[in-house]
Amino acid sequence: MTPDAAVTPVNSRMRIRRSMQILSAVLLVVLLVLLVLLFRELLTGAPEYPVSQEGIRPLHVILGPGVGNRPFFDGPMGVTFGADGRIYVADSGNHRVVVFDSEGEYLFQFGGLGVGKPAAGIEPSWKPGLFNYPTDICSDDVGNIYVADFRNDQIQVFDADGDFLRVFPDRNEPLGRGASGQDGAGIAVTSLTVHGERVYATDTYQVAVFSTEGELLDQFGRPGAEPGDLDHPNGIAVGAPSVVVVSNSNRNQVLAFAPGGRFMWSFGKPLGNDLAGLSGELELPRGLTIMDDGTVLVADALADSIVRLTLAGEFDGRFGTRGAAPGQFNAPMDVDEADNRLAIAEKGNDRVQVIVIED
Amino acid sequence: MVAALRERVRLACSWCENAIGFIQESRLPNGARRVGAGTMAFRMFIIGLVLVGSLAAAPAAWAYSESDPSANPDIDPSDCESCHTGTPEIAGTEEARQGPHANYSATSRSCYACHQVHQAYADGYLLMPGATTTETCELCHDGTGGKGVYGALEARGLAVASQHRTEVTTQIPGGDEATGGMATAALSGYQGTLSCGDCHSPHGGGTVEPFTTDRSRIETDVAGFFSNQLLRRAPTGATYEIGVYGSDWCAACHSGRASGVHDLINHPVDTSATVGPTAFTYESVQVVDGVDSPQTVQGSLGRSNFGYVMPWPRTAGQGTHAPVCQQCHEDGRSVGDVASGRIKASEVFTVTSADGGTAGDNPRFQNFPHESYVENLLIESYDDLCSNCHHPNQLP
Repeated sequence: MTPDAAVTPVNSRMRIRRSMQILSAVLLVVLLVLLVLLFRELLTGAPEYPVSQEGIRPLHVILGPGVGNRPFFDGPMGVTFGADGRIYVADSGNHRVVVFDSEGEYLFQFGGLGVGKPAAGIEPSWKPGLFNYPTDICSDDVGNIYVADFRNDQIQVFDADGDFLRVFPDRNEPLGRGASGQDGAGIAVTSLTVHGERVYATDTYQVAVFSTEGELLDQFGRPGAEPGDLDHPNGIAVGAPSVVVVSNSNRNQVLAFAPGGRFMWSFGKPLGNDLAGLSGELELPRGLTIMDDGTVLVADALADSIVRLTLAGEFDGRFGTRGAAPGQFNAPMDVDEADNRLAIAEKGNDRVQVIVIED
Repeated sequence: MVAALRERVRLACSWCENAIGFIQESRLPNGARRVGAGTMAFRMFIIGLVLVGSLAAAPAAWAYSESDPSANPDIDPSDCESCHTGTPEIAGTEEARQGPHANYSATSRSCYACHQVHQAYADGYLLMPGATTTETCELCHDGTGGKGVYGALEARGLAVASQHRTEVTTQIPGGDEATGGMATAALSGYQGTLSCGDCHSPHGGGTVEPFTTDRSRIETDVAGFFSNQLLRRAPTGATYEIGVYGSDWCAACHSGRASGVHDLINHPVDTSATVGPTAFTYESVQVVDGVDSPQTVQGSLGRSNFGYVMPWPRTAGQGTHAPVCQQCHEDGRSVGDVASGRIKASEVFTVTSADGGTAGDNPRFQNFPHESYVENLLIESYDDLCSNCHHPNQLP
């Protein structure tokens, strides 16, 4: 045995051991770096998501007021821009309205749970300004805020600072030729919009038109599966010249009506036994809005995207994918527009986003 | 979000504890090394590899980019059936399509409506957007959309006398077949509680035969509305499948309430175990053929009140059949006055508003068995219920 032969195995083991030690050291350094990054993420609460989604430029992500005992939204279903650019959010699960400035900074909130139509023998807990599952919100030209008080079968109106102004219709009286309110009284309003001096509201199967003071002016729509029939509409907007566009949610359609309720057109395939499955056109249209140029934007909740239609009912684009990153969506329930900025209420992500569509 | 962060902290702590524990075990009490330095280094290498690998993989799972499918070439996110072929949940497509629940095809993308293959929510359940099944269901089924509203009475502040409350209980009344008492079950909801998915198949697979439903709502004007209500043939805990909705379906869970199959004495009901294949079901039972009529015909309990009374004397069609569970347990309604047991003109089936929420509707509310204003999910209370079939003039 030569000296070299005696040394070689030892050197080999030493090399292996040293290699292992170096590798371990490297791995530990990498581990430490990853742990630092992980804890930094945990401490800052700001996960680094991709910030660019095709066609969408995210501006703000709003998770809630960030103060009080309910700092986060709970399934917000409605959002609107106020006349001064403020963002008003119908925080449905928390039965309140939360208000932010145009940059998404929290300003104030109002509301809380109030039951307007309890069981016989129980005093209503509702007082002006309280809500029971507000499902939609909109503003008029002077900045007053209209809230769809869904389970109280009424619409409440506030000024821009959240001071109560009025409520209509009477939740304990039948509405016109009938509506879906509890006990046949009031209107279980799912969505609403203000156009000029008129308030348009949907319930389970129809559209009711009020003056801004609350006088019932018109009712149209009927339940069913025929063209123009309504099945759980959850979005409404009015464009020039007074075309009423409605999300017919349970039948995957957007419908347009002329003044007086004459059916004009529909987009999307209604549900039926002859369909093979979701077509991808519209999967669950909810809140919608009409831009100044007549473009219709629809929050497609199950497709986690915003669909753009022409005012003639033609498909004009889809924006967004499912996700929790800025610019992605999870169950978007409502969309509103101001100065080309879109505010989107996401029930699934418990947040509101402000974005710009760029295409 | 809070739950997600909590889970990440828990995972990180768990990894650290495991690593430290492993290193400590490799030392003897006197501080000498138990193994050679090379072996120790190797173990450190393995530990480091596992830890780094875990941390490296975890962010990838949390923030997987679907914009680059080539990163995971073996999975086509748009083709769920490439993996799930043949599973009962996916394969059953024979029923009419109901929203995203069923009829999955090569051109549909219904799976994606509720599940996210990658970049799913850390606090989501089964890759769904909600933290629980119920939360996911209520994205649509909250009263504003979908069908089958759950909790509508309670949310409106109305008196709820009985209900199948989700995510609250693990107890099944009458679930103990031996005693007829309460049984504790491992259900599919959060912490083993009752969930929507225990009774309903969200994918429309393995469901009962369609039946004529009372769930009118918007289908009020649609003739012949049939639905399987996405009811499972085998609700959670069932030891057998039930193809047709009726007493057998209820007894799958409430086995201690069945009759004639054990020593317990319960009000008799028609089940396949006691009557065989001719047992009455929800869709096939004797119903009176009109207002104030003593005659019966074979028909459905659905969309009329004619199946909730039994004329006396019994008709030939009724024979020796017992009722089905649903003839006593359904949406609350007014049927069969105590004196005659027959249906009056004022008691015909009337639903004028969505969910039957109008006081004049009969039945009022269409939330059975989710919730009811009547105790024990019965159609009526006290003697008013019994007299629908047991008329005073027949009693001894």
